[in-house]
Amino acid sequence: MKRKLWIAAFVVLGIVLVVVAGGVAVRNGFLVRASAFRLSELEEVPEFDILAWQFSREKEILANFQVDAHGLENPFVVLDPYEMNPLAALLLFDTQTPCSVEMRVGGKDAVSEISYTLHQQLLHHEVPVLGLYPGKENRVSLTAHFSDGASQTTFLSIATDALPVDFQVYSLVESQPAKMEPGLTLMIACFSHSYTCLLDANGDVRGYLSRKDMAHGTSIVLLQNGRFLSTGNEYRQIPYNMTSLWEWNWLGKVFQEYEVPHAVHHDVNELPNGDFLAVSNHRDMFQTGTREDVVVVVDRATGMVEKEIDFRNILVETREPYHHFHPDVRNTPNIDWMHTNGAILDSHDGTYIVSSPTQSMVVKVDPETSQIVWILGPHEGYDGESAQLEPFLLSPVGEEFEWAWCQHEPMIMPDADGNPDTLDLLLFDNGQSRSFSKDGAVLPEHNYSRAVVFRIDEKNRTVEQLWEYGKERGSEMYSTFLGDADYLPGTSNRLICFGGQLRTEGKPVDEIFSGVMGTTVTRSRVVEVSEDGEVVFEVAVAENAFSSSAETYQVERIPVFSAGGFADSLGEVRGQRVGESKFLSPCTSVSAPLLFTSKLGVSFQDMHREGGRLIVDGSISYDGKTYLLGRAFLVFRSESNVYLFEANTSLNGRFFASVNLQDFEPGEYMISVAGAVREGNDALNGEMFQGHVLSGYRVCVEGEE
Amino acid sequence: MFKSKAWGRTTCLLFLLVFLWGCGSEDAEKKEGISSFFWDVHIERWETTPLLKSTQSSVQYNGVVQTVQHEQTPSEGMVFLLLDLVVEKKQAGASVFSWGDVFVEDSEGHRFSRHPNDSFLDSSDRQRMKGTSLNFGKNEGFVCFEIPEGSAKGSLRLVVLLEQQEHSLEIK
Repeated sequence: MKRKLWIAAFVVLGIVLVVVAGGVAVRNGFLVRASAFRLSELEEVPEFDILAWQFSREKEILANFQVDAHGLENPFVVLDPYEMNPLAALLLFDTQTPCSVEMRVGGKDAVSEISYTLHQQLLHHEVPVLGLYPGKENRVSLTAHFSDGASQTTFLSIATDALPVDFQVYSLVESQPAKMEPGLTLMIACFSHSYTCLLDANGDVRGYLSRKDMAHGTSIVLLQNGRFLSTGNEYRQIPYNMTSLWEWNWLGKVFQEYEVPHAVHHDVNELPNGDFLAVSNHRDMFQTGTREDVVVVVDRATGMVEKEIDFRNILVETREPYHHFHPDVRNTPNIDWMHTNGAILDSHDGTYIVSSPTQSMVVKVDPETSQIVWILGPHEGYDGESAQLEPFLLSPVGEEFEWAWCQHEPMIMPDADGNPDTLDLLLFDNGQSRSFSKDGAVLPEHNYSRAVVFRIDEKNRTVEQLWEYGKERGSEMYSTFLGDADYLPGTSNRLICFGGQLRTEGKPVDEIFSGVMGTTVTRSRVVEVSEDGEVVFEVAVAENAFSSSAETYQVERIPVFSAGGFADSLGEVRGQRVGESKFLSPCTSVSAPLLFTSKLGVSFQDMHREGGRLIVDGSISYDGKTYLLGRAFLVFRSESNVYLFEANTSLNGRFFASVNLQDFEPGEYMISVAGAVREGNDALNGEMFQGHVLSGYRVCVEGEE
Repeated sequence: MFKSKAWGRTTCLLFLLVFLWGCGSEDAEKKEGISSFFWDVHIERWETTPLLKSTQSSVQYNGVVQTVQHEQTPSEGMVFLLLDLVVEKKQAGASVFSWGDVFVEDSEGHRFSRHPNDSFLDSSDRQRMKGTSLNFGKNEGFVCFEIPEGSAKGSLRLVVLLEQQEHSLEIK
């Protein structure tokens, strides 16, 4: 009996010792220690800086070019030099005497031949070849024009890769090149699985961005200097709030990266002084409770945000009209009440014209005083607090008049009546529901989208409908979301993008949520129409076996070649990064977890360091399931230090982080992810599941030398 | 008796583990390749398959990752031969590595060119080697050939024309 008691006592003591030892081990972080063995099992975070990589690529090109003599008859050919546009090439060669160079890419017919001239008389030539066809041997001719009038031509063949199998399907419906605005049609994709591309008058792809991580959901604009501007590749908030703007050319060279901590979504425009006007967020959008309700001006030289116009101080954020944009998420920290999708300058008076589709409102404001000048939009829904906005509403005049609903892309037309009090505004009217009430909603099978021109009499505060196209096409062209309408100055044509046509079994539906989740097909249609309504170009964009989405966010008609975009020689200009990097602040409200638990799943769309900055784009799940709501924390552990950051989290487990590694003590850090997901759609209520797992990565922070 | 059985089992297990480990390392260490004045070509891995299951994952408007399954099949009577290649330019110059000069040759001397559009590799968890000529640098990725089922059962060679000279490398 005594012996049994002793054994029992020893067992109990043993258990107690194990528990105490375990507790001590946990409290001391022994179980999550960044041991040498554990670190050795992890992958070092890769280093990638697109600006540095591109510059080293230029030097590599030059090093290869310089080994042999390359003249006009045997130029050095580099296809897709920056791995951005597989349908572009760079030709390098030298000539004995200075000459200009004429470049031609053979087309299927006369209208699809692409040609341009580099007029500078030079001895060393770097000739961009733009507009190659995919998957074929392209016929290219180079003609040198010498100052004495002589010329010499060389013919080349440049083979290109086929388009990726997941490329959207483009079908030409109509083309009358003689009546079209000259140039290529820039089809701007929206979602991460679609490609932004250039189409010719035959609807053939003549260029595309193979990097699908840039320019999401945003416009791409041709700048006065001949380069293009789009958003870069770093997310701040799903799905299109990007923290940088890239200035680039169609060879893919990035000249400037503007870091915008507020993040840019939807439209960007260049102001006459070169600065950028962009729709954005409050810089602390994760603390403010709302999103997509700020317009910013970015200083071109410094990249800094020099002006913020916060519409929560101008409109009424509690005005919550009927819209389909977002799921029913309660207590969300980022209410998208305005979803601002466009901001332009009215250069006549220095005001901004800003579009809010969820409010079905186009509002003109004075950026200096934040005073509303007028509001263009249906008169429904101005009750309660928003009744204060009623005095700014424009009154409709004329018989043929309809309001725009969930509109996109306001554009000021040339003055047609010589009246300084009027303003002609072109819009894409998606027409979503055509009502704020579910009872009054027009069903998608009876709905339509259109481009519409309104004349606004600012003195008399009236609005008149001057022109429209699309209503006559009925529900065939109905586009619940996305879209664009541009006035083309050379022909007075209008280029219209019916960008987000949701279809189930070929029939129009309004299910944005299922459309964006891929369970409903999204197609698009681009139409160029003359002022009198004649269709001179039309292309249909359809899904394929790899994706149910074939959306087109916006469309632009751009020149084939903009000389200013190619003015610099290789190895001369390294891309610059300006503006302000936004980093996460260390989290002090919670402690880093001391145990790993395995039910949390984490995957990364991006994990790289850019010098002293770590950029993370990841997703969390729990027990193999994705949850609508969640939070993610990044834990950095070395032998002696622990840093914890709460990532910017989005719906469905996505999270983003930008961490300043320069603030870390030197050492080798293992990176783990702690996360919590919540059942249901209420950010504050519902069962919560937590976990903590290794990311699979480590990062080495060097001390300053 | 019991002890000797246990030792026997342990020894066998250890032997098997060492043997299997040894097999794996032999493949991993296999660095034989083609070398010309400008270029080095290595086969890191190869496989044949009658079907490629592609998974296209894409982030949706609201953050959901949509996954679309797609099956890529070769022509009737053919299989896919996938080569994971490293093509590295070791000497600066104008020499170009052209896929038109790359073939797979079977035991009967039949030659097969690279699949004209093997971009489906990217969505099957394999990083694809770009399909256009290579000018410089270290290029890594998979390329795909369609070869007859019968050819896949015999020996195969990679044939590359570099600087007007034919080089070949045994695949299997």
